[in-house]
Amino acid sequence: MVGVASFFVLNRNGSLIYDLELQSTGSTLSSNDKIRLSSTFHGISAIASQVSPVRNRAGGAFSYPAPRGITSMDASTFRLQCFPTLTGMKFFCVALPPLQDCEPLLRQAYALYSDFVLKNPFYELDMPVRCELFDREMRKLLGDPLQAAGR
Amino acid sequence: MIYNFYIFGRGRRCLCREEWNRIRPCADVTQETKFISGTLLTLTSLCSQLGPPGGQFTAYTTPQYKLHAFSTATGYRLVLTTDPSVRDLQASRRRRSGNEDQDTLRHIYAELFVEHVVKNPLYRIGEDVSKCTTFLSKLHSFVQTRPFFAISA
Repeated sequence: MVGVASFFVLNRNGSLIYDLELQSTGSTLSSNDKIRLSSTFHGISAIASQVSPVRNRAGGAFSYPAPRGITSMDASTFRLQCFPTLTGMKFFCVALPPLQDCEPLLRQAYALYSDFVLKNPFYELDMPVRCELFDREMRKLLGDPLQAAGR
Repeated sequence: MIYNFYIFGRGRRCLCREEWNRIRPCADVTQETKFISGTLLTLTSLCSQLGPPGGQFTAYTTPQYKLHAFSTATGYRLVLTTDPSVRDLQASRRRRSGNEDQDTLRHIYAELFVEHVVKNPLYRIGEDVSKCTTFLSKLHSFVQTRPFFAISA
């Protein structure tokens, strides 16, 4: 099982619309802290793509647009892996060692988002996600220990 | 592929900036340096809050490049930007395999910076390192002999 401690979704403006905590990391974050940290990450990611020492690997004016910004950030005790979507959203998770590639997981999370959130007629775009089905599927995908215990 | 190397002293001051293999020329060096040092500070605080306590920022990857950072106990920050295929530059803290390529930044700090800059009697702490020519020439020869210096995957 992939050791994902927490999972976040940012909308294209960089505000937090969904977060999920799966494992306690020892530091407790209030929901305000989460909002602040995740939008900081959004800003840093934009700056990081601006200070790039190389040109964007785009193949001309008609090429498929490549996502920009930070795709993974390593720290000595964890890794933050991010999947920027073409629409400017960011799906990212904090993974604990033993580290594995979380990108397939984040892509699946994006698929779940398009299925269970975007197709929900009551969901307003760019607003915080409160969809029970999406929540359930995400917990199933990321392997919530509570879910596994048959709660 | 190695693109840039920076040393930041205490208080965000840039002490050294070197450049290799830059395909896209830098539009505004001062501005870019400021951005890098600001990014570094923010990421350091981000890492200490997100995730388990005691996390120290080591690297970030974008589709275009990768930035490695190493901060010393005395507050110096060494930064190297490379292409994204280069593996962790200071992973040997976790697995001491004796593999030299792994701790490039640590080597630059311990063997070059401390030896040729800090121990230089003419160097005053907090100054630019441009006067320490031995350091700069050793830095260039060290970086240019790295296996990933001009190879991009």
